[in-house]
Amino acid sequence: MLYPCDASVLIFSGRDAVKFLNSVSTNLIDFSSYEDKSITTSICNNKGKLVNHLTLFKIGDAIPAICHMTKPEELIDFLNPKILSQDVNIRDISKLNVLEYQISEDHQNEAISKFQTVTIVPLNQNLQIKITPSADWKQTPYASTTDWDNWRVENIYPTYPQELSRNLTPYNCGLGDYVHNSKGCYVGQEILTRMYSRDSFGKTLKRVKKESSQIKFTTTVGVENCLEISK
Amino acid sequence: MDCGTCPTASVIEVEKPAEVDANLTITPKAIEMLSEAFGDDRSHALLVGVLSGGCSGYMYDLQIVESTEIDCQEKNIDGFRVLIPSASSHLLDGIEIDYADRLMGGGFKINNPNAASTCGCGESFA
Repeated sequence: MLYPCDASVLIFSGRDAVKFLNSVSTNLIDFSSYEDKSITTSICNNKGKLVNHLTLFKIGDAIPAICHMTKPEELIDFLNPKILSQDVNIRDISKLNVLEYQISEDHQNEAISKFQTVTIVPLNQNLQIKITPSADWKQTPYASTTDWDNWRVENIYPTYPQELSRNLTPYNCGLGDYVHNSKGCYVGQEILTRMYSRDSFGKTLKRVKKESSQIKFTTTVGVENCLEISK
Repeated sequence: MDCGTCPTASVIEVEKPAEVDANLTITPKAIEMLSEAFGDDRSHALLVGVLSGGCSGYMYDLQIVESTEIDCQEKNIDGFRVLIPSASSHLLDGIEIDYADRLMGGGFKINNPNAASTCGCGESFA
């Protein structure tokens, strides 16, 4: 099943790119033992609120970053002033590629895979992002929004704009697994570590039965269940 | 994936803030501690830098260096060579380097009038 993906792709390069990404994002960015795997992380402001949500992988010395938001300008504006004298370059290659979600229940390979010019980046066990150069892309039928939403509900998979927003911390919107609690300092760490150490996350993303869902907290409606962000 | 190594995807230009002539002061206590750290050798310099990160967005970085590849402003304060990276000068103008002599949370401290907020440990600012 394929579904259009409102994401953009940036490429980070330069001697300090990994160190820089580590200093501004919630997860540990270390490709030394995961050269062919993707790393998902969140970028937060100093209040611990989400600026963007990235999936990073490595191609040679460069680090492509899938930004799970159509327009990466806000992220770039957030990152640029922090580069200072570090050797970090950012390139926006979104227009050169088409991104699509691919749900493949039998895709057990956690590694980045390539088929000719197409790159498949696993996001979780069943979900991948397929990156095709615009020049080689051919439109194929997409799954319906209903099917996609239902899959997201059943797999508790948050996306923009339904679940992810700049008013929420990663813990609020289902991205808590991508917060590393012993990596050291990063932007927003003081707030997020306090939430974690006090086991006080406030609202969290959860799947609830449709009949017991509360409309004001519901973010996505599936066939039998809903996603909601609530206490 | 088209990785953009062709000229079609140009590097996003970073808008660099204007460089300012950074003024900084060092308290007598910090001078005393720097004298201990440097000894009689004043050929080295104190690099006062800023890195991305820390809880608040920017993190101070104090190093004793012989030289650096980074483009810096060089100052002489009480006989010490002090280097301030040009790219961070707007964040460091007006700072005071102090030394807190206490068992917990002691060490060099930076009082920064440009900081809108600092984290609990005082090592980062926004």
